[in-house]
Amino acid sequence: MDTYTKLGILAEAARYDAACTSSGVERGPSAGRIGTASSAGCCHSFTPDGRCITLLKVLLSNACSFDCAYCVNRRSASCARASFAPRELAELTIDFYKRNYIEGLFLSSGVLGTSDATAEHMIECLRILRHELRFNGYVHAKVVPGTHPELVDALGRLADRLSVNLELPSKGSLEALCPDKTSMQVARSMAQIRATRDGEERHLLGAGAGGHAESAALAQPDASSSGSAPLPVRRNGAALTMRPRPAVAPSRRSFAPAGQSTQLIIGATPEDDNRILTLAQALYTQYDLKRVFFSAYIPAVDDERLPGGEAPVPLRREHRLYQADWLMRFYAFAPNELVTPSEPWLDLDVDPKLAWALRNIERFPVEVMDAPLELLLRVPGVGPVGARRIVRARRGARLGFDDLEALGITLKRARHFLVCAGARDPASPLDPELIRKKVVEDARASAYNSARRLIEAAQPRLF
Amino acid sequence: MLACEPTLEGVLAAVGIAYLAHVDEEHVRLTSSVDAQPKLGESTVGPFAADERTIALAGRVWRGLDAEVAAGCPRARENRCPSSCAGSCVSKIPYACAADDPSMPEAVHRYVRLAFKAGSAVSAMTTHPAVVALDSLARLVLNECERTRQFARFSRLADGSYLASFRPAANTVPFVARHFARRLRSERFCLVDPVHCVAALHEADSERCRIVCLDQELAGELAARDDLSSDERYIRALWKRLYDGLALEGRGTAERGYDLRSSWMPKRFWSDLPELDPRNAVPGPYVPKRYQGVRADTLGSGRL
Repeated sequence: MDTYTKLGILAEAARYDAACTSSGVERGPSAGRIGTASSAGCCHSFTPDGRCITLLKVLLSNACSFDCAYCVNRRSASCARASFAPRELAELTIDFYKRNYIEGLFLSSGVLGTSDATAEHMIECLRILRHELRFNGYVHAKVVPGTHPELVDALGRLADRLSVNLELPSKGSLEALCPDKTSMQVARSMAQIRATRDGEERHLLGAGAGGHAESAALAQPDASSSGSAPLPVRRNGAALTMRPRPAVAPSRRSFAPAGQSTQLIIGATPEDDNRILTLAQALYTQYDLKRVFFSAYIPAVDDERLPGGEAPVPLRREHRLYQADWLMRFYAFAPNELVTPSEPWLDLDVDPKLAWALRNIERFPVEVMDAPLELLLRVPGVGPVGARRIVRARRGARLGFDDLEALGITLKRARHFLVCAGARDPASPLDPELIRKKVVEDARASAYNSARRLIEAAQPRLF
Repeated sequence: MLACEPTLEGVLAAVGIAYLAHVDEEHVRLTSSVDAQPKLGESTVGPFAADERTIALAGRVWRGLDAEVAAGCPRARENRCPSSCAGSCVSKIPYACAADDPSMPEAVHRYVRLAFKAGSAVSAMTTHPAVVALDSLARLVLNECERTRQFARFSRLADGSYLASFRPAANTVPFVARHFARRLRSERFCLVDPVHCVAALHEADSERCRIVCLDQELAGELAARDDLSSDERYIRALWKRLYDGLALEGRGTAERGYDLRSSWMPKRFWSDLPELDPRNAVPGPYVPKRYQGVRADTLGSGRL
């Protein structure tokens, strides 16, 4: 079987993994090596459904020994099987990289007999890529639950980011659908990755830096920044939020410098958004994860334990979870500000930030001329760059709504929640209930929400 | 109306000429020499030849901006300039000058006049129309630079070097050349922009690229080179196969209500992307040795 045929099989086998970033580590050129890494990452292409392609995302093999119910590659599935030779995949990575198709390699695999045997093959591929072919670009490697700690460590010395996919948001669901994996195995690998990174951080910071390193995964409500520093035209917006900076620059690390991530499948099992976001927060805090990815379940297998083929893909739910996750990581929202046990589902028509503002409308409008940065960041339509621009601009002049528009604020969303030197936007109603009604009507009327409502209305709630 | 070359040197020289002629900014309007159209009652001056004197004048204006605006900033004088700023009130001007927008010369003119008047305080005047106009152009060019880094596609030529032809909506090649020199340090390559007639040339193991201006004909010839390496067709087919293989059903435009892909990847780039070229759907008869398949694959046994 030549590489072209294998690639077709193994790319299709890997496409359900939502991880799509090449960010998190900055690495300049090195003599005799090919490639660099950029902390912001770079998306080189986009699939027809709009997902980013930044890495060569493939399975090393889809000849899997596990039998996870939701997986198209499971042991009991009848599908074409293929495997790359380690060198073959390494060469392909270099060929694609030189043509500016990719930033690097995303390497996962079906389980080749055992977790350890799988890891050994992956390590061989990455060893060829890094040491023989001298690749200096980005590598993201998946750790199969149950892999021996020595092999996890070896993978972490070759990859920039590691992932151990939890996949299912509760122990019960994992046990029901994945007979060959346990949540303990996942947790053990995550804990090892965190401990190794913490140990390296303590070593790099020198003697005296003891204890458990503080997680920098989530924004802190009391982050001390007035936002008044100069704001050049070119700036990564995410770097201007309230997320604390890591104590050690990723470029100084040798073990998984871009950290670890995981994935949760949405819509295959009954867990609600409250459960998922609470779990995500726990993962960020306990294991210092960089990302939790959400993958909307696509019914690709027939199994009575899973939603059937006619079930629509829960696209909006996935989207709202990503938005909520972003608010937690960058804007210092707590999960219980977004969902609660009594209201455990995110609104599908209205994004979480707007939904929060409508629930807390008594806190608005916010005065543009003197609101602190963290309060400006809570205004729908005001992002980190916009908030900083407001803080800078108000030092020199009294701002009006025309000025806010010139600063790039999305006034269509923000106008109802701001006043400029006491003056409201004339296009905004005065009554909070009228504001709520208008905002919700506008959101519901969007092409996105209209299309999704039609599709989702055809199906009853599955759980 | 003062016509000028739509380049950094051309615009700054024109600003200098208007200043030396003691013409108030209200009485002079800078336009690009490429599409200069005087208004009723307006007289036209220029464009001036890009000779040593105009380039020296442009340099003088630039050094004045650096000294009085960037270095004149209180933070800079006290060596407290944060790395996030570092004179960006001046360094964004070259980005703005790379924009193809016909309003660019006048926008830069207004901003430079304001910067000389206000000094380093211009960095705080973020809502001033002149600052808004310049920032808008600079941001447009920066976005186009990112698209160049994303979507320029290289091909391996028969002589072992790499060639990419890319048609951005701004003159981005001078700004992104360093990025590609770092990324492909060990390779010999050329990145050509046949629209702006600029190319970045890189020799293997060099730290930098050379930026050269080309005439239209040469730029077109370079961009159209088709002496590809024997592997190239197969590699492009592999890339398209990967691209097609990563698509997921149930998440497309019909299900979403809008085209997410086009908003991230503008259609004006699609014709040069091998992953969207149907000719690459067929790999052809030649298979490079390293991709011929080392050993037979198995069904479920896990052997590689």
